[in-house]
Amino acid sequence: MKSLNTARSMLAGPALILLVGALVPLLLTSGFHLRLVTIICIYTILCTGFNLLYGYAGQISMGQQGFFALGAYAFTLLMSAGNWSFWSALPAALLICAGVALLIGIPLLRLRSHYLAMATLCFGLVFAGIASRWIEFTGGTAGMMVPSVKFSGHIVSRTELYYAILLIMVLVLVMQNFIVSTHMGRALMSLRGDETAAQSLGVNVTAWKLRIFILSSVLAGLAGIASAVVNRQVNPSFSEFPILVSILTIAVVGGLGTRYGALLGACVVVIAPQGLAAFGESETIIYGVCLLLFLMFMPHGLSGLIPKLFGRIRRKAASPAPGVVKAGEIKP
Amino acid sequence: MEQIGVILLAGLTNGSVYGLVGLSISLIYGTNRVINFAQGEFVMLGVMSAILFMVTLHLPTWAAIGAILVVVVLAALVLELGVYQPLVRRGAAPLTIMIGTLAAAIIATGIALLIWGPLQLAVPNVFSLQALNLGPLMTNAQQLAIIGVFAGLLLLTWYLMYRTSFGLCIRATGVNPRIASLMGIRADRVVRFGFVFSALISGMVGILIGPLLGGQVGMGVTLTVKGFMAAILGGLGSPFAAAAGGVMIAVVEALVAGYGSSLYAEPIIFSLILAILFFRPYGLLGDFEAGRR
Amino acid sequence: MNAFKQPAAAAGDVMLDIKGATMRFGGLVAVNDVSLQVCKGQVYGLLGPNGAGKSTLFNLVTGVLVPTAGRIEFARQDVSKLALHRRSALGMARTFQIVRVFHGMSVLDNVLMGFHHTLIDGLLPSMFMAGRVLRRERQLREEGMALLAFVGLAQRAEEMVEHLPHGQLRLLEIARALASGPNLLLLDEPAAGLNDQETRNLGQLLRKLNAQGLSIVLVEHNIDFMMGLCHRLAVLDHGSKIAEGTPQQIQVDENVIEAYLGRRASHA
Repeated sequence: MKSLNTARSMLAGPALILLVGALVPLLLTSGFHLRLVTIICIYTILCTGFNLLYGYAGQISMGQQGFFALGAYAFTLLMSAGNWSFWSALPAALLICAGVALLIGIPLLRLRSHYLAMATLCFGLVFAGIASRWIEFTGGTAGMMVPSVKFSGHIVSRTELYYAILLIMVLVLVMQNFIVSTHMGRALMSLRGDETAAQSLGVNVTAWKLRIFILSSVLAGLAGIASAVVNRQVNPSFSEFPILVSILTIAVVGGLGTRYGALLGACVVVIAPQGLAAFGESETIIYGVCLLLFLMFMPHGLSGLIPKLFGRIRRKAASPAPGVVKAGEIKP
Repeated sequence: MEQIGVILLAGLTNGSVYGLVGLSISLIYGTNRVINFAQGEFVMLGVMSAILFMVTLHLPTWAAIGAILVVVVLAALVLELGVYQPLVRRGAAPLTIMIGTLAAAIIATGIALLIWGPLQLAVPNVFSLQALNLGPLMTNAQQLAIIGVFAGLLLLTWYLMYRTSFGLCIRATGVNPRIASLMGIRADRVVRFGFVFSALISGMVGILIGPLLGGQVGMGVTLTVKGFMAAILGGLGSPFAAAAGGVMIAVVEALVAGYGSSLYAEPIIFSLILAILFFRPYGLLGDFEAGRR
Repeated sequence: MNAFKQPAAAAGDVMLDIKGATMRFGGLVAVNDVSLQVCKGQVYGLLGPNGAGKSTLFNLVTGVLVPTAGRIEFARQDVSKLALHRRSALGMARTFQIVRVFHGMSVLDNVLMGFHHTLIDGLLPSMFMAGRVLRRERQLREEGMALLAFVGLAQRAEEMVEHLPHGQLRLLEIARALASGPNLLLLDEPAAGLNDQETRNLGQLLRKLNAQGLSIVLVEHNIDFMMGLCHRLAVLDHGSKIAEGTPQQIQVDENVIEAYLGRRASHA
């Protein structure tokens, strides 16, 4: 019964998102809008990993843009220079992300969490430096072209690509829901609280930190590959600071430690600039201000509003509220 | 032989900059366990306001320096009162406050972008850039001034921390803020001092390094990261270990760039730091934090 | 006085064996060559004035500290240097002097943390066995609810732990420790901060657990609480064991009286 409930709560949201997402191309006429929705999916994949790492496990990586770019570059180089097929380049690029995350994670995750933050930020910068200056290998600031994806001679169209990425995003969300609604989620949440208590209950704290750091890096790499395929190119801007700013803004505005915060935040961050004229110049300031205001006044982000909203409706219905409304925890 | 001298001098110059940023980060961290991600922005503000006061407004040098230091102190107070305090009052975790300072850095960069634009600008020099022969070495007064200021500020910090009663308060707060406040130390004042003093240091770094690096609004992040690397390498727990870490990083950087290619410098330093952290988790010179996790 | 029959403590039933444990911090000897044995089915108390080394000894047993010298054996296995997270699988569970629950999680989820060591470790293995994980999750919820009912917190299962008062958090910690299926329950000052009524309830709860065969080691200041509960007591002073025996023996032990009363006379 309860396991049915768990399974239902794991699948219901993603199923709805899949349904809505599948209808979107029918409603949109311009390729530009389709591109925006595709970018939302990519950012959601990227930030879901970040949310698991920071929102749930309380460990912060500021080098997700580095893994985003690492995935994209590894994939592109394997495909173009290495002549690998799509189906071998994709897992290989993800494995490279996992390997690098392992190497960075082992020395850092035994330490306090800000060491990870600082060193991963450094990783992002180092990667950006390599990408823009090792010209013969990475193409320098101009980047590289990504060959278009073909399956048995058929070139994948923009719409087909969107459906593929949508499906991947939904699967990532299902995986996230599975993680956070089982003992894995509890183990992750115990990391952000009391490590000694977690250890004395049998949680191998270092191993779990490493696992979730690797998972979030692999998801960042996956998003990077998707971005490379959609943009038909990779360049050093994949690993640059604005990507990190977007990741943080999406995660914090959407709601840290919530299931659909990444998607919600990605929608806001991708769509909002379209409505604001002259957004370009002050984009950085707006992101910074949003980040700060949400940190101060809405630590659970936009997702935090939803249970409050339900709480209000329930109270308006004048029925005695059963139990306390949980701030920030969404359990549909 | 001559080349190694040149390399070491270049390393020492850059090392002074990284070391002072590292020292600033470590000072603030020591008072409140928060990493200030906006530290490099103070340097950027110093550099950019040097352009404003010296070039745009044609102020005499001494007045310009004073005005620059006022700007960075005001920025530090804005950071402390507008970001740090509100988050602390809301019971935010140190990690959240850290993101808050990053948000402040993003905002500062955004504002600077509106004022100065994205291009790299030339920054006027306070000291002469005329070549100066120092034995076999070629240098200039600006470079020597940076190293001199580095030494001077280290000495001043040491004096403040170990020879004044306020320094004792700083150190006590660093060991245990709660007990320090029970003993009547105004922890909030210590923290404010940490922000203001480290901003002053970074502002001075900005004035000195501007002519050598050029002014660009995005320069803060790189400096912050170099400062972190300095602090982790030396040991985050002690400002002096952090300063030493900065010199080490810059010397390695200069050696790699001098004998190999500058392309390898950053990856090598990064790998080196990861390796060192693996064997000495609290930095080469620090064991201050070892018992506290 | 002691409502329990003395457990049949044959030598083969030793559960926890502390052999000459010593802990030095620099020049300070916090625990000095302490040996003691806890037998199966016993409630064993550690008493002593402030700074006597009780907490340090407790931390040695629970693995937070590694002894400078000596051995600590649990179920005939040397656990002196065993990693903290490997201990619950052996059947050791503990509570903390200052309550340590996981914030941002519900009361039930906190209890479920106790089952962690029995579950599939790792992300990939769990994903490959998703069906089994989900079925087990359902069982866990039932078992967790049963434990909450046992300590009297069932009606608060879905609340966030932040909403619970201190006394209930203590019970929650015990429920969480029980979830790990321990043979030995280690309690660090379980009555600290509880009022009289709560302390009595705690005593009853611990007796009930002991009657079900659970061995318990506890550190506590509250002497009356200890006398009524423990089968055996050890008294520490200045890091050394100065007395050991049944509550009746301890009450008339001259070393103990001197350590407590002598000190009180000269300091108070």
